[in-house]
Amino acid sequence: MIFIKIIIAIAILFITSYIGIEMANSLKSREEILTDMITFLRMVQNEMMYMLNSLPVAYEMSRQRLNTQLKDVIGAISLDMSEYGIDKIDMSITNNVNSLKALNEYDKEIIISTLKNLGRSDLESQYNIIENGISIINKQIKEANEIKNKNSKVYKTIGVITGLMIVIIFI
Amino acid sequence: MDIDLLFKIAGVGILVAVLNQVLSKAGREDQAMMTTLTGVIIVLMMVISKISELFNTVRDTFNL
Repeated sequence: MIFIKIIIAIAILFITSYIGIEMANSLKSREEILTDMITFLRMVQNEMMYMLNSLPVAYEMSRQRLNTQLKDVIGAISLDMSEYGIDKIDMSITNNVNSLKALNEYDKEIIISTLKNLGRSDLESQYNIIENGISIINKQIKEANEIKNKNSKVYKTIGVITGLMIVIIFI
Repeated sequence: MDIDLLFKIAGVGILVAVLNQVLSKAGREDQAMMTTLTGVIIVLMMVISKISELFNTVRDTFNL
């Protein structure tokens, strides 16, 4: 009987700690995805300005260096762009960017707006659009970093303590 | 006297104190206060049956 109680207690503790750690990791993911987005935009900028590549090619070349979920999202957008053309991919951009659960609504809005505006004007305007997007995303990264530093330890601690509370009260 | 109850109350008290400190240091004083209140309510619920026994014993002893 006591052996079963110990196993249940360990299981509850494990589950609640895991939930706390996952919540803490989602804060880390937001910062990583935003940083990856800046890398991507810089590379697209270089591809367009210096290699004079078209947008789908620039996207495809740039996404190879990405490390997060953003790589698959950009891959899907790039595929739709090749299939349907730049004018008809607004829905694809919105749907694919919205699949990034770690980002908040404002982050997604900035990325969607930046990606939608690319490929619709001359080189200099696109350069400015990318620079503007990068500066806003940099501010979001700063905010994400502050939130991560403040909250990730709290979530992990709350996870463990909630598990211990449940074990003490019920078992 | 059920000694397990004392240990449970002590455990809840320690955990609430730790949680209070963590939340206060993270700048969430409101949530820290809510946690303390929740801890007090949980402990009260744990001892309410003992308090009821106490009142019954007093009533029986003094024929009230």
